[in-house]
Amino acid sequence: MQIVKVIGVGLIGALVAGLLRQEKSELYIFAIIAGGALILIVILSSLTEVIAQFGMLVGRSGIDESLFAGVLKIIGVGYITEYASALCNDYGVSSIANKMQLAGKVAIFFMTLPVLANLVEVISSML
Amino acid sequence: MDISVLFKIAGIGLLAAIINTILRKSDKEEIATITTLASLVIVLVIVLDMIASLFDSIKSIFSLY
Repeated sequence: MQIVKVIGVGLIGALVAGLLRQEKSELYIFAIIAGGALILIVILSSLTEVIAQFGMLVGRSGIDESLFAGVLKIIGVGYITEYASALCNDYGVSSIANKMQLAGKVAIFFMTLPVLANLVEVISSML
Repeated sequence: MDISVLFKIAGIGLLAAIINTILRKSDKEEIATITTLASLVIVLVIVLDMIASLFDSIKSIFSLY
């Protein structure tokens, strides 16, 4: 895990964004976008590793595979909406950020429905 | 690839700001706005394909199709 690389990229991004904001140019939001994206790219490789290990654990423990895929989807949607709404907050348009979070909640809710159905099935089979 | 993108954005932003002030001082307002627009488009192109590849890999990791 190259935590030092992540910190370096983050600091450089913050520096560039601050510099551009001080220059009153509209491009400082792109510096923020690029900085966030770079940090994500750096941690992406270890993220895939963690998820693969977790998948093996879930596979061995006998839990239904689609359940884990559902949870993974929810994490993905949650993360992307959080990334975009934090970006909009940085840019000052907090109303759009709140709308995005609402949309993210609705999407996650729709993704939990099959998991809930699965849960109800398991419980009813136990009783 | 990675860090140079940030420095490119910083360079283009600073250059656009300087050109903007120069043009504004020599009272050519409309050319100043056009140069800002041009710098915006250039940076958008740079950032766009990075964001596209990032979101594709996120979609493939979390199997978010």
